[in-house]
Amino acid sequence: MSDHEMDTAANLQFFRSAILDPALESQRSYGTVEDIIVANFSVLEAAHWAQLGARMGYLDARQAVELISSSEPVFNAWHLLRRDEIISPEDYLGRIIHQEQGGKPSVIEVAFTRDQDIDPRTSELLHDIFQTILLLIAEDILNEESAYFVGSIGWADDREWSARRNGIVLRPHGSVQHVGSGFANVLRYWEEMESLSLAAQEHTSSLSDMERATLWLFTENIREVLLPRFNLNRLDVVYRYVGLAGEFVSGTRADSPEWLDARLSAFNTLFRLIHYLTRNTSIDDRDRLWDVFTRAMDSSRLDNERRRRESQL
Amino acid sequence: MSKKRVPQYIPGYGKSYALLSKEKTVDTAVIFVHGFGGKPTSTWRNFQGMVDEYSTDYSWWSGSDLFFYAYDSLHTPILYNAELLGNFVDLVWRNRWQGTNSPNGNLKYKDLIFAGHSEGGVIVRRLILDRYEEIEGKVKEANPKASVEALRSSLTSALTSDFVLASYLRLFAPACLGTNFSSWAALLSLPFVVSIVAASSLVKGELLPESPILNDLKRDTEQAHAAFPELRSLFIQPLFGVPDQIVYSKSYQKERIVWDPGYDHFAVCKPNYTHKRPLEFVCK
Repeated sequence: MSDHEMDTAANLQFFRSAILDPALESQRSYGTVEDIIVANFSVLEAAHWAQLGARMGYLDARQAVELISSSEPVFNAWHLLRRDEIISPEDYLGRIIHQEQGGKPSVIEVAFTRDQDIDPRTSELLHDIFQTILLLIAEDILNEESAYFVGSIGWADDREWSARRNGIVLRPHGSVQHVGSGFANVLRYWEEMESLSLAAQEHTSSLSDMERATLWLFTENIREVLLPRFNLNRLDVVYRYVGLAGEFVSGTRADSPEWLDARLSAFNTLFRLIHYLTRNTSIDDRDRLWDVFTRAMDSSRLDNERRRRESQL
Repeated sequence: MSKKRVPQYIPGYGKSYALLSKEKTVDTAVIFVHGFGGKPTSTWRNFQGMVDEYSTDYSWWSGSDLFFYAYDSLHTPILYNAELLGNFVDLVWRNRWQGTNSPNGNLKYKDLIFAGHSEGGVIVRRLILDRYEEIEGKVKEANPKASVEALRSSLTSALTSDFVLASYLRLFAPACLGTNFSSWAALLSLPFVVSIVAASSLVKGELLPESPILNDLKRDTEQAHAAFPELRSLFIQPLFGVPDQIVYSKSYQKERIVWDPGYDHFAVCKPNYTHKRPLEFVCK
């Protein structure tokens, strides 16, 4: 076995244990509609990570195609997400699987072909970023808390979301603590992803235009793979994120000048992250989001005061 | 084969993973323990890649296997977390996680380094003290009628030959004197503030200044160090960022603090191209 073959074999094993196996496991668990949507995203995203890994030479293209082709749940996830119009054939997530009319869906093998234009230096940099992304997804996204949180905030209706956030729904799994832990996980992942993307750009000063373009393209692809699961193209979901952040920030309330500055800084961080992720100009209304953020803070404080008064009666 | 290390998960320990060196001679295990609300990769990024990228400048890394330990820092009590970490350390030291069980005479490693951040520093110090107290108790029990001198000699022999007590502690911003959770400063990191609100009040209480958990750890570690100053794991030089608005930048009696100006609580343990101090700090 050549050195390259040994490397890609080890990478494939890591990819399976970090991403594919946990994603398949999540799909086997029974859950609500929102749970199933998130589990289907995890499985379909896994196929995309395999494709990106193959294109940059982190994984062997043939092995990656074989692995995904033999994973029936990938095709089920693709089918269900398309059937429910959660993704469309034009979406990034819809592009690596093809189905002839009346036929079975199959992997578009050519999409997994290694990009021969990547020079060794850029390739090494890409592999590092990609491996770190896989680790971060395994830690921050593919776990019970994050799945519950993403399903709740992104895919539940207003009534269900409010009930889950306030702990007034009886469920076999999931809790208000899951919402908090999942939110922390998702924010951490967003911060790390943005930071990795910026770090990659720091390298670009010594790279050629071609190399810079390659690096930019792959980091954009990485961003695009995970974006749909958050459902941030819906403004009401963006408002939920901003409102929830306001509620958590109110838990640190001090009302000192330092705190007021820090509060604004926390809001700006969230705004920057959402903007980085979505590239969506429709959320550019910072004033409106600030209003949602501060209203949620005040409402949370009023709730706390009311509960405190009630408990004293 | 390239120098790049590929992560391998440690069975039974969640998202804990190893990055094994590809060098022929490997004699050191470095165990990274994240802090409150942290995770193995985000807390310690970019140790994972930079140890190989800068192996010519910091050569000891190429002979070291790296273990990134994952644990529940938000809901599990510190004492229990210390016990769990002890089990993990034993697994790593005897190389049992890869399906082998090295007998004592045939160990892979000569040295063990702990890199701990914030709450991780507390858990590492608790593990060290637990180990000390366990060995002390066993030796005393086995020598009930020994003279003071004989007991001291037996204790010294048992304590100094223990691989955990012989480890090197490299703690970044350890929360050993408590945290400042109520501070507005928590807002400096949005994931951190959410973690604080989401965490159990039990763990938050354990990390407050003057908590019984922290008080006992300080008092007993200082006493153990006074009794056996030759045990290096009982006396540390922590590295604190400046400013650190999350934990109290203080250590135990006579322990000298090393400062890293310009890096806050979260950045102090993260090496990057302009901040190589963490790479230098974690060494024998």
